[in-house]
Amino acid sequence: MFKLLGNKRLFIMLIGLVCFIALMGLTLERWGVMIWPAQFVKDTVSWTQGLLYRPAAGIAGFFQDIRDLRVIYHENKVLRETLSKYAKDTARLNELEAENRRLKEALAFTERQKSANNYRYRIAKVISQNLDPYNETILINLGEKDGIRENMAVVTSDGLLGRTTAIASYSSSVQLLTSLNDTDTNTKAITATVKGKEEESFGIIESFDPASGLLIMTKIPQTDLMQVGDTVVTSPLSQVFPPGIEIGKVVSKMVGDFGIDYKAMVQPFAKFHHLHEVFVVEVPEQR
Amino acid sequence: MRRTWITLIIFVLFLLEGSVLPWLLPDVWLGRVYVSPHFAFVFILYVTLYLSRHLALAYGLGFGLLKDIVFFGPMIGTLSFTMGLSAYLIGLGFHRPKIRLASTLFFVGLGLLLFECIQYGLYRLFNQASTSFRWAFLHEMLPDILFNLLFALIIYIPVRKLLEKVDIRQADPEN
Repeated sequence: MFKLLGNKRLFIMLIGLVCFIALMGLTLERWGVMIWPAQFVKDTVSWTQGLLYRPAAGIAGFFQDIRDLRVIYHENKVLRETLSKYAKDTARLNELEAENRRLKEALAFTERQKSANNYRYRIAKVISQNLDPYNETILINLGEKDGIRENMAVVTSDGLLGRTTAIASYSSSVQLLTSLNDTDTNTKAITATVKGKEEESFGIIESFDPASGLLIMTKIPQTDLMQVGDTVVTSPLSQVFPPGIEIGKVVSKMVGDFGIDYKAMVQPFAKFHHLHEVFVVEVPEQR
Repeated sequence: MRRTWITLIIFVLFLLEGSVLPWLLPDVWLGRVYVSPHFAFVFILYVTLYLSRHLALAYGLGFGLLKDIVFFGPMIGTLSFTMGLSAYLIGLGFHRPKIRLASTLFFVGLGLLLFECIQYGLYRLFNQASTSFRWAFLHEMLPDILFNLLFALIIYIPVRKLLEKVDIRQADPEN
């Protein structure tokens, strides 16, 4: 082996190693809008990938449809029931919204405060997906020119999917929840709470356990009323994500690592594969 | 002329990795069996075994960097470094244009193993991988290697025919 690695070769390899380690260290989680050559490469390649992704999705979807035929009848029945419930809810929502508006007027809210909850859901098509276990990323066809910025929440109709990271002009990367891990000091944890008990409940989702496929929610206070089966949503205290986005369901709750708090395992609602469309949640400008 | 073809083929494989393959993997695997296609890298391993390690090094660095930039995971440069280095090392140790199917697959598998290990090591170094090596080996690397070896087996005959036609001296002046 030492004969194979001559002096010159070894020297060049070591220089290469040093350069690459430096490059990795410098680019570690430096996301945001990329520099223009990288943007150009990313846009061009992802556009080409998009040409292939959609027909593939279509063909896969066709076979899926055949497989689903049996389920469809039952699903239709369930959907009809939900629809009637939905109509009831909409009526109630309208009523509550009107009341909310009236109360805001009465309390003299400023324009900025009023628009603080006006989230825009931008639909984006998925262009491609990276299946690497350490780097689960999807690309979407919205970019800087469409007003996408770093750290915007990305959701599907089921629930929270991830956040935007590296942005090019016409495409951007979305880091999936499955890449969350607490050994990384720069990781963005998600502050979460429980639907219906927003005030009484609090926890931080900071890692994903690949072995069980569950999110780990930690730092839950001992007095917390969270129970197994509760729906976990993003907290109003979060600085990255808008509140109220559904994340998952609590499957178990246990005493935490140091015995002074609790931790819970959360089954995410969103599925992370075979995605067609996702929504990017645009928060209105604050301050 | 042939080299342009090789570049083009690797580029198409690279595109397929991200766009078509996620749809071909069965539903039940996803999220349980961690399989990720590295078809461009498998082709680069063929290049390093049959043609030249310098060409493979260039392809590895180039296409690795392309994947790094397009997806931009935790950092830039991991795939570039890993693909370049492991393709080069395999070429350095086992460059044999006349080997048979079994040994070819063995060396491709070895290259994939090297690739996975260096990649895991780098992510571990930068605190991006939280799983233990044992778990990662059994659940991520092993399925990956087997899956990509299957692809290597499928493309063995056409690749062999294609690469035998390439004039080695034209492909690499140093050999």
